[in-house]
Amino acid sequence: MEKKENKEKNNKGILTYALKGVRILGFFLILGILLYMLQCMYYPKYNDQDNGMYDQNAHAFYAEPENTLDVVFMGNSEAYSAFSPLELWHEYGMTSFVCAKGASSMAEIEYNLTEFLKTQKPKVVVLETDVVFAPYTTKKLFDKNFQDEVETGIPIIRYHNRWKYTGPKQWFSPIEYSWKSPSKGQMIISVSEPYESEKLDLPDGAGEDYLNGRINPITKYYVNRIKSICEENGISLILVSVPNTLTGSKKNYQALNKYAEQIKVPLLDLQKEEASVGLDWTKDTRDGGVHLNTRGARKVSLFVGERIKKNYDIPDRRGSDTLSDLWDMDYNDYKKVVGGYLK
Amino acid sequence: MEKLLEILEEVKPGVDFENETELVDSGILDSMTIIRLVTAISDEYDIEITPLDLVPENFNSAKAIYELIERLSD
Amino acid sequence: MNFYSYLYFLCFALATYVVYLIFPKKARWTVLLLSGTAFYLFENLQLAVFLFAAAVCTFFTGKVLTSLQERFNTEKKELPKDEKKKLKAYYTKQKKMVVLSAVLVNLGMLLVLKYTGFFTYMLAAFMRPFGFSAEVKPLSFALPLGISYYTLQSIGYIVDTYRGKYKAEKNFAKLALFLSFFPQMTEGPIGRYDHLMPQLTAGKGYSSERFTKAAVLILWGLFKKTVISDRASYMASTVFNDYPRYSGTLIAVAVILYTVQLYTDFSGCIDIMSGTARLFGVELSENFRQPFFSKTVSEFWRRWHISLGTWFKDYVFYPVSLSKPFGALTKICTKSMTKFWASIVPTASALLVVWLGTGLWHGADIKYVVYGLYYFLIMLIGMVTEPLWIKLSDKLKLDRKSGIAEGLRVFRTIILVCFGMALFRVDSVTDFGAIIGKIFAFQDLNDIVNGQLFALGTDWQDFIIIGLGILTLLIVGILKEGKKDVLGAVSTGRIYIKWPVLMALIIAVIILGAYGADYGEVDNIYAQF
Repeated sequence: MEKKENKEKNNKGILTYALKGVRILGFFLILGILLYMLQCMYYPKYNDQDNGMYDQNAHAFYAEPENTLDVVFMGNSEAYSAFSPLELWHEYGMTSFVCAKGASSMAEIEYNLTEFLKTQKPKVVVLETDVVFAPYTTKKLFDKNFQDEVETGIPIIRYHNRWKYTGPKQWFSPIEYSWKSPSKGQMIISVSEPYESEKLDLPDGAGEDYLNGRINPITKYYVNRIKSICEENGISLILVSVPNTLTGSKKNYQALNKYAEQIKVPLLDLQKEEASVGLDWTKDTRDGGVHLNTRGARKVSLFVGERIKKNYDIPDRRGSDTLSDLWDMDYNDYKKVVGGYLK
Repeated sequence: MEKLLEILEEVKPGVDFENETELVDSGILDSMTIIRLVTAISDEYDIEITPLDLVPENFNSAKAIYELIERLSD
Repeated sequence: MNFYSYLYFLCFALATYVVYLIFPKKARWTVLLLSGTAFYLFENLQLAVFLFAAAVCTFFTGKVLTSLQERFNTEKKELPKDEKKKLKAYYTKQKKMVVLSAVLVNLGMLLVLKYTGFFTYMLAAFMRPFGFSAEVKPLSFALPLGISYYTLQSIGYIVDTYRGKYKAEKNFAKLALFLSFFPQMTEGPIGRYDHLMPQLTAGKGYSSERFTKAAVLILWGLFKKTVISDRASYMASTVFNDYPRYSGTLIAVAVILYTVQLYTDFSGCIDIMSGTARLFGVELSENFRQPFFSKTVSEFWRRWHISLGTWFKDYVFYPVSLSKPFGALTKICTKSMTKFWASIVPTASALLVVWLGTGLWHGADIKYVVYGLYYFLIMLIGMVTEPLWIKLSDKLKLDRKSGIAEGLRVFRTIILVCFGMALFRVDSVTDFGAIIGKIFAFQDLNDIVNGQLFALGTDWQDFIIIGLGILTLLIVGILKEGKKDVLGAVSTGRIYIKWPVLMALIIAVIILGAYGADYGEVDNIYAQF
């Protein structure tokens, strides 16, 4: 008799726990559905800033026709200042895009790559290496990356404030990303603020001691993830290091070269190849050596483009189809804007 | 007890000390009034009141105060 | 960034909670001690040495005091009555010396770390008229986390054991926990040993009711902080950081917004911490009780930062008022003044000490001394003029207890408090004077009408949210005043009450929280103490 009573008690206990579990699950399910609905309402429906798109330039790739971009440049403000897809088009018929955000975290880069690969099948991913040396403490780096992981994983967190700027029209319209970047993601700044000499004179170390020549494990973690994504998709990953006065230092470049060897990713160290690139730091920088201007971008792009063409099988897409015409038109517009400056 | 009620009336006029049982909890006796009360009481009854005694339970009613006085007079 | 620091904190709390539940009941307090240590080390490893020193000093002091008391108790049994008094005096003197040295050590650490700069500055200022002029470099040390809170908490414990309120804690680890319970570390409340310790060691486990109550409180606090406080902070900061640019009207609004910000920030954080403590079965003492319903400034300070007020009451006001010098002062006053003044002067003097202390506790700057004096003067004037008010209202046949009268008093108190907050916010007393001047030179409401008001970091939609937030607080406050524990009722209510409220709070924090790319970072105001 007792055994049976105990068993009943146990069954009741398990039942109550099960019920409790179901209730808790139910709570989070309903909450999740509500939040998901809000997310659908507030998620940007058009990919420009006015409609809430986070970093419109980097996300202009959504509007590009599918599978038409063979190279993608990623990184932070160094990337969007140093690479010029339209120059690459004009010189090599190479279609590319610059998907970069100023002061970007690695998490954001990984997310952008994943998004990019939803509609594109690039052959090469170029990662500009300034992000590797971003001057943050481990705590700040963790915060930044954690924040971006949360915001990209749970978009309502990123777009929650859109309650202020949206109404029923935005809430119920479908997503239509057709805003194009006229410069394919490059930041066109045709201004020259010269550095003190033609050649960049780099110090031994730059910034705080604890940052010097050290690549943070969090950064390494993300570089690995990006590398994996590329490998899974049959994409070649290369690193390109554009010199700059902010994080450029002998120690950093040494560490970078070592790291690239370690993880077996080809590194194009423009510091080393300075002569071939032909940068003149009295003319090619827009802010005294921190970022390049359109002139510098042209030089870097031609150099990098040639290397990519040599080592990877990138098609020359110049021809008589609509794609080629569109790119030609974009290049002509670009030329109108910067032509005079580049002479 | 009479004397106590007199003192209470002087320190804080207009309160029904005979029947009120939440003098401290309801804020009728705040810390400053309590000090004035304590000074008067320790004078009158020649006792020494320490901060340890200044808890709501001892001052919530005239009866409680009187009991405190009796205890300290030993 | 602040939004995420709350996330980290809650993750930390949850992780601690899980480990806590795994441990057996009797040993759960050790998890709390370890988590407090971990929490502290996350913040600053080196400064932890001061907390440790305070714990050691406090622990041994307590033990010595209790053993002195016990020795006295045994020895006095064998003595005749008149000798007992001598023995008592002897032991009291011993105990006093122990207390004094301990308080000196603990308080000393606080004074040196926090107030050296202030003291040297004051000294230099004092010496200047005597021709002593030297550039005084502002000396400032990094402050250990929560030093202003745990120092007071430890002194409270020391004085309580001196008074024999309870016996000293025999276990050093347990005493260390008393001083390092992580929910209390950043903003208090300042706890009492007899209230806190039994709860800390009880090792209460999971109960769905307690968990829900904790969650509701935490969410309520998050709501206050992210939806109201942070939102109000932008306009307030813009104006206060550069007040000469702005009209009196805008400054007045900024003062009000700052008061809202400060209240929701502090009470919101306390709610989050109290909710967290509740997970572990610890009810921290109440720190806010609808302070803006106060009819007088005195009452305000009994409803605002309550644990600080009661600490000063029990450990400064009462001891000072009952001390011998004070008694002597009272006698002199009774002899040489009218009854009325004789009752006010001594109390006011003790009150002055309290307010100088309270003011100074808030910061190592002359501004904070003035802050304390500000409230002291208001209370003093209140005490002195009370008979006048009574006479006046009798003559005019006005009912002092009517709704209108009380309403006016509440309104008056709010205004006085807002000015106090303005003083608290500005950089110096001169800035405060300038701001008051601008407010009273009030010209017109132009800046509100022409939209300038909404261009300073808090736009019109933000104002609406703040307004709705205040309305919510008002309703909850009114219910709480009427002894209706709203949050508790919600937590234990039926599912169709509990769930909507919980979800509404969560969604409000996520959607309406002032965080993310569109908003800047906001600091916790009371965490710098």
